[in-house]
Amino acid sequence: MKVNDLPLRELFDKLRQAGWVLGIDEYELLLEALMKGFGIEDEAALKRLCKTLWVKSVEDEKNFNSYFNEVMSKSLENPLVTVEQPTAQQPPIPTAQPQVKQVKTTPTLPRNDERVSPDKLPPPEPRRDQPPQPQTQPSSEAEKSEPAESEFMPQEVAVEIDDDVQLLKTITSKQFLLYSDYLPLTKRKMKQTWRYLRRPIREGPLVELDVTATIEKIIRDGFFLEPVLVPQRRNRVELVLLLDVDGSMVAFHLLGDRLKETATRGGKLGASRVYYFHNCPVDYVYGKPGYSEAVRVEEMLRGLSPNRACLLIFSDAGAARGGYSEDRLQLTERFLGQCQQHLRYLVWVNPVPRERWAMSTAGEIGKLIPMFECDRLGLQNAVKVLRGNPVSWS
Amino acid sequence: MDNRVNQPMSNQRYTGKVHPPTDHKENGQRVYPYLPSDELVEAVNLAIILQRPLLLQGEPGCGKTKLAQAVAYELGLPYLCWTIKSTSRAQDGLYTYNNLARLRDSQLLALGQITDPEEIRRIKDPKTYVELGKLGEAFLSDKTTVLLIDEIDKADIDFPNDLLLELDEKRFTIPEMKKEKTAKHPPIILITSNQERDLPDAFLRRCLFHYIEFPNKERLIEIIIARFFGVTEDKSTIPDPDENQLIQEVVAKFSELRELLDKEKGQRGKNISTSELIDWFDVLRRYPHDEVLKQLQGKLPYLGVLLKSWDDHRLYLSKL
Repeated sequence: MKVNDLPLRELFDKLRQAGWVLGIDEYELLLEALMKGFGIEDEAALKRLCKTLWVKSVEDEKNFNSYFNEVMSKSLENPLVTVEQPTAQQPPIPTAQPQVKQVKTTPTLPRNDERVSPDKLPPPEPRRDQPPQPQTQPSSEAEKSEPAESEFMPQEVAVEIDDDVQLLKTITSKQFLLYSDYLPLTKRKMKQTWRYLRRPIREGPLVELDVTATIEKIIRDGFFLEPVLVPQRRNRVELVLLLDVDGSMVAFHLLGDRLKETATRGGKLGASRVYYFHNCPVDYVYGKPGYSEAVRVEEMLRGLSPNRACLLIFSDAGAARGGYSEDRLQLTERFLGQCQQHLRYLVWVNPVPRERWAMSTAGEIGKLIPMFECDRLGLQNAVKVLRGNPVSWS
Repeated sequence: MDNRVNQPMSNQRYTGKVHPPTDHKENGQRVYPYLPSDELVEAVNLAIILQRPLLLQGEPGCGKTKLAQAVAYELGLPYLCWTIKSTSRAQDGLYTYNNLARLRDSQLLALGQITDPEEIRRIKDPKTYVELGKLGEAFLSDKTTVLLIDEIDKADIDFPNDLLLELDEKRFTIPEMKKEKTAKHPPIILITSNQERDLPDAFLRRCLFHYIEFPNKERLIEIIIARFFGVTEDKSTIPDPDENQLIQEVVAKFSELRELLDKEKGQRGKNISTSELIDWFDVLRRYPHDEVLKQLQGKLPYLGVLLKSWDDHRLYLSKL
């Protein structure tokens, strides 16, 4: 097969559609590598090459394999597929024998021989004889099991035959890749958004020379006395995630976990901590989703630096089930009051769409604290609030 | 080793088959043989030819860092290592400008303390105070260098993105000198990451990627032999069958323990890897072999070399 005939472009497009960060540069890089003699021996070499150039993480590797196989098998076995398509749509039982014979008559293809040999059914005959032999004593049982066995055996053969059919099926029919990504706010977008959450603070020993200040000082003094030193700038942000769990939040557990995961892995959020609660934090929050490792709210707040800590609450605030609960509102108000006394930056992210907030507790809570939807814009705004920029939210 | 020098880069290929002799040292450090997989060799060659950095990931202790030195040795190129710390800044890798020294010298000059014309010329030249970082050094070297950027995920989130232009176009500017420096010989850049955090997409896009798989049993035996007995042309390297038996047994026990930890802990914690195996074997081979072989049948000796946490210890003892 010539390089030009390879469906590299198709593969590239597929990966891009799947959200991979690939640009035309990466495609050209592949062509360059091919021209320089990489990945041209066989399919495996090509696969290795594409992997090295395009795959950027271990998770991507699995997806890549499936895409690559899909695209390549389609192109390499194109004629085969057109011939055998009718069988592929038949139910996978050997009753479709005439159909198989039709295939047999089609132009000689290596695969056909393989397919036909199990059809002749010589191997199952001796096998069917074998099982009853040891079961001679309980004859009644043996008889019972006999039909079951004979029913079963051809099916087993069918499975063997249909391996090929199955294979073709996966080749011909569209393959599905199961995504667990939440589309209004994908993992990548979450990670990107967290990157904006930073609070560079000059802190620590005086090590960096402030050139401008030193020169100004020399000018002021008329001669050089000592240099002006400043501490290094560091990113000091403490993110505290408070995740509502159970009850109406069950549907959003995955999303909460993803927020947590991207926050801790995606950015350098120095001391990011996660606590859990149910409906509203009352006196305690929990270190684990199963309400273990209880921490008093005061204790949690005391451990945070008032000027740096950012508190993000992820909860539906009662909007998922709707309805208005005075109790809930009061408890939440008390908790928020407690937090606001200690912390400067607080924000609420609500996984339920904004239209559902009105007429529920969420609408009222939204008046107490900046509350945003859990989509890209919402999270971006939430991060803005945490950085101390004013954002209108109501 | 003639093929290691004076050849244009495009002709140089890493094979992974040229190993340093057992007494080879560089900067006082012994350079050990490195046995890369074929895929890894190919990835390194791609990085050389396409002039892209190669990002290496893999379990801790599976040989990410050691590769760069092996590549440098085989190709006969200078080796530079830039170890990243949490406070590292991208700029420091290129150069730092010693403003303080310049200020001091200019003060001395103003006070008339310096009279040597040679010295005065030196002070007036802004270049004097440029101190190159590892990346800057690799760019401006007269020879292609192998540069290792070790543990890039340790640095601040902005670190990788701050390097984009430099890695892409192999040039950087020194505003203090009002000069732009372009790499004469683009370095071969290997980057390691422990996946402590995800790197930005824009950075990943510019790298080639390779995940170093954990070696299988046969490979581990080869690694141990190469490490402790050197690599010779003919494969009959092991001095005597007694030694051979010890190696086989040690690797077998190691693999057993690794499988156990893998099954019990899954992805949740650090598993034992090649570097621990090497340390362990290094301890065991100092004792009479028959004694060690006997000990290996019961509770493994010198477990502290392998298991680094009390949980792992308990896990092992409970399964004993």
